[in-house]
Amino acid sequence: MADLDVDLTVRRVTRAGRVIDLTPREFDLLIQLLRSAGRIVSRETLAREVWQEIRRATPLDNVIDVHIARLRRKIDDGFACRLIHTIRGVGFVLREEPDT
Amino acid sequence: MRQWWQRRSLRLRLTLWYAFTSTIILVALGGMLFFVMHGRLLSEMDRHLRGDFELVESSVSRDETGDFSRPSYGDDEDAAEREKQAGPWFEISSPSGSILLREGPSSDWKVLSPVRHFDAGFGAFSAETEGHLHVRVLENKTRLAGELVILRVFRPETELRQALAELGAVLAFGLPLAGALSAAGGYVIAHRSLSPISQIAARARQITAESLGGRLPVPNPYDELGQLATVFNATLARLENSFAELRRFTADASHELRTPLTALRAVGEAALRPDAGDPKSLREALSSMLEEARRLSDLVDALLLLARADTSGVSPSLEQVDFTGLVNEVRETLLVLAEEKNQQIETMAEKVTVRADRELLRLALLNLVHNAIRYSAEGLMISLRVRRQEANAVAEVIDQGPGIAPQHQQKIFERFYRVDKARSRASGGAGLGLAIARWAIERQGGHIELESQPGRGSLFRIVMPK
Repeated sequence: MADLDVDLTVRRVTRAGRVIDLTPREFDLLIQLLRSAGRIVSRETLAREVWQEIRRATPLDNVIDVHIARLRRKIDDGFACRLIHTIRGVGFVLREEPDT
Repeated sequence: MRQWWQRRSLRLRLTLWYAFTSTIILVALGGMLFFVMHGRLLSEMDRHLRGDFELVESSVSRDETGDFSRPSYGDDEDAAEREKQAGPWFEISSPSGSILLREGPSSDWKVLSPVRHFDAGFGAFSAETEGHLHVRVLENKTRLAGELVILRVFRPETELRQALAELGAVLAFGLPLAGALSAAGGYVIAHRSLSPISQIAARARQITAESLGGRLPVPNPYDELGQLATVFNATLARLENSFAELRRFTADASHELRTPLTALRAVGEAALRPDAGDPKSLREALSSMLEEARRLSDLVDALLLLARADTSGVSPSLEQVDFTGLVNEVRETLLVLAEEKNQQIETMAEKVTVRADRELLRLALLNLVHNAIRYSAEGLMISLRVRRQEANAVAEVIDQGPGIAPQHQQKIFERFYRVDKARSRASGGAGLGLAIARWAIERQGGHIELESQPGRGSLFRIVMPK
């Protein structure tokens, strides 16, 4: 995706040739977003796929928001073209598009 | 008959039972008294007859012709007559049955009963004379002046019969009277001891779901009825509490649901204003509405979880759970939230396994730790401890937050309860986190304790039976 490269076997992420250091959780999150690149991924989906949390009524939404914020900081900071976008009230999407 | 009996009031049945049993006892006692008296009087009479027998035996003589005679008591006719009346009356007969001498109140009287041949000793029996006089007879063989005869002595049974008749009359009159008296007494006792029930019933009839404040009268807290009323009162108090809680819950839930709905409508109406044609601001409005809708559905999810908890009887699936591992996992999950506030989460954990439903236990821990993070200020420390305590497995979540005042400590686990009424959704949850945590733990047979001092922090302790 764009200038973002993900090597699944060694779990290494590079953007524009620069290695990005991600925690395992952040890596899983990124993979999940990449799998449905261009489509909106809801918090419920992320909770289910990344945290294996089926039950609602847990404080997981805040946790997801924090992780997304960190992931965005690591991947998008310093790049003109932002990849991770928040769709308010719906979820998150990974796509090549300057933030509106 | 059975149906009739069962349809009677308890009071009547008790009375009838009481009267019935006391009558049986009285009749039995009366019968025994009569029987014993009868026996006593007869043996008394037989003793007298033995005396008569010996007297006759010694006084009767035989003249030259071979006739038996009694010594005369002089020529006085009256005296002789008195003598005859006073007795002893007797009859001497030969073994073949012919009367040799007879003496009695009048010359024509005689015992209708035939002589009974007693082979040995005395025989006593009751008999009747020609003149319908009841007598008691004692007879035996004896030798008078060298001749073997049968001697019978008599005494009238008139007095004995009269005494027994009087006793019988007393019993016949007294027994029904005593029976009636005990029935009346039984009725009074039954009435007095059962009348509180009527009072209780009358009061209970007035108590409805709307007026659960009423309590039953407790006539005497030490007897059975008093205990019953006390138990009912305790039940009523619990019901009243539940109803109050339910009412408050409904009110709170409506309030909590109305707030996002109001926001939804406000945003929607604003977006539909004619001057708001700009696509960007429309998107903004839609996003805002979706966010509110999301909050709503989160809230409804949590409410549904608790509502199902109230109704469903589904038992948690208990298994051996690595308690320490679970606490570490929860810490791991929520650590990012603490980091955002520069808080640290330390753990001091023994290796403890516990029999629990893993998901429920995790839900409770997530809510408790999240609460600790949310209500602690920046930079403070949160401690998690797991250890064994006697037969229990214990996990403690300790924060250095503002603490909880004693008057809130009991209520803090109630749904929608917030210590600070002003602190609402802005600072996070809907006030259901602790309610859910408590439900999740109690569901598995454990409980949550709270120790807190305002200004010093709080300690939430999950206690699980091992």
